Amino acid sequence: MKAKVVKSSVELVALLTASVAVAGVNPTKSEVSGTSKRTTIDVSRPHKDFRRLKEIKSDDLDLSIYEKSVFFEAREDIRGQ
Amino acid sequence: MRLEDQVKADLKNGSWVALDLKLRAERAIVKKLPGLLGGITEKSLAYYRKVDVRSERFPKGIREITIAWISECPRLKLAVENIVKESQPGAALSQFSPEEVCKIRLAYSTIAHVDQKTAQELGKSATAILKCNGVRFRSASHPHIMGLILLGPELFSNSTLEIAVSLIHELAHMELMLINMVNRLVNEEFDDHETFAPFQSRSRPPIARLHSLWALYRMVQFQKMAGLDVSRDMNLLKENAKAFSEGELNEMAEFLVELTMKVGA
Repeated sequence: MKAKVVKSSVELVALLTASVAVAGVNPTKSEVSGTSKRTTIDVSRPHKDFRRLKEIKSDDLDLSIYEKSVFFEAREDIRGQ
Repeated sequence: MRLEDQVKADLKNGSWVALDLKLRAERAIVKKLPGLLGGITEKSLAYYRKVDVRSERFPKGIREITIAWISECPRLKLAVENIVKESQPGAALSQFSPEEVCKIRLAYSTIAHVDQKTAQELGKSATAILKCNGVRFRSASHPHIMGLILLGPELFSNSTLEIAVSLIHELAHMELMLINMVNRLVNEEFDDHETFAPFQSRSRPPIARLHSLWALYRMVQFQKMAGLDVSRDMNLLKENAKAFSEGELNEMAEFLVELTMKVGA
């Protein structure tokens, strides 16, 4: 996987500063009133797997595995749970 | 190619498979409940809990975090609280503060800066993020409300990066929940075989230990991409990988364990 690697704490600070700009993180009136403000991250392009899905047999998945309730939680004292 | 082989090939490439399998799970549910609309959360709630929340419009997607919607979705609120109360009796959903919304957005942006593909997977796989008070967990998820990420109040005392890692952690749980629908991973006779996990100081069944391992794997993978210190989580990962007894895991699960060990290489 290609990824941007942060090599130093200075770079990390720069990254976080940039993130603030990207996310528009200051709370706005619209957020307080219950609507939301979008970031500029593009997640709108169709995933390649949507195309592949046309050939899917849903029988491949077994839903019964979760008939029994299973809860997954991460706690400070049990990191990685 | 069998779905299981395709999942293996994708994982071997370093790709996430949560989104692909989420869509397949939605199809599988609709096959059982024809005509059922909504996303994976609505569908899993309808299928497993017989709760219909389709009439309630809640903010969709990890980017659509708002602070005042929960009181407008009483059915969803009740259903989620009932599920969480099975584990944590004092649980109650609440609104995020504006500052908490900012922190989540910042964490998501950080993920996108580190790896756009992971951010896309998270943005498209996660249905919504909810705040849960009266709980001990920092973050949590459940297969009957697939796609929802629950965050506890404790999480917000952490740094943005730690919140980002927690979001990755929950996406990893969702991914393994879905892989578990493709393959049961644990040999049936060992389903309830609890083994003492030293670093967690308690006994846990194989599927829970596998979830720990998988969440750690995705966390370490992300932290390495971000250039962060992974020594603590890497050690936990190695300890976790050793916590399986012979015969507990099937071939697919063994493949996953091997994959997690390569993240440190």
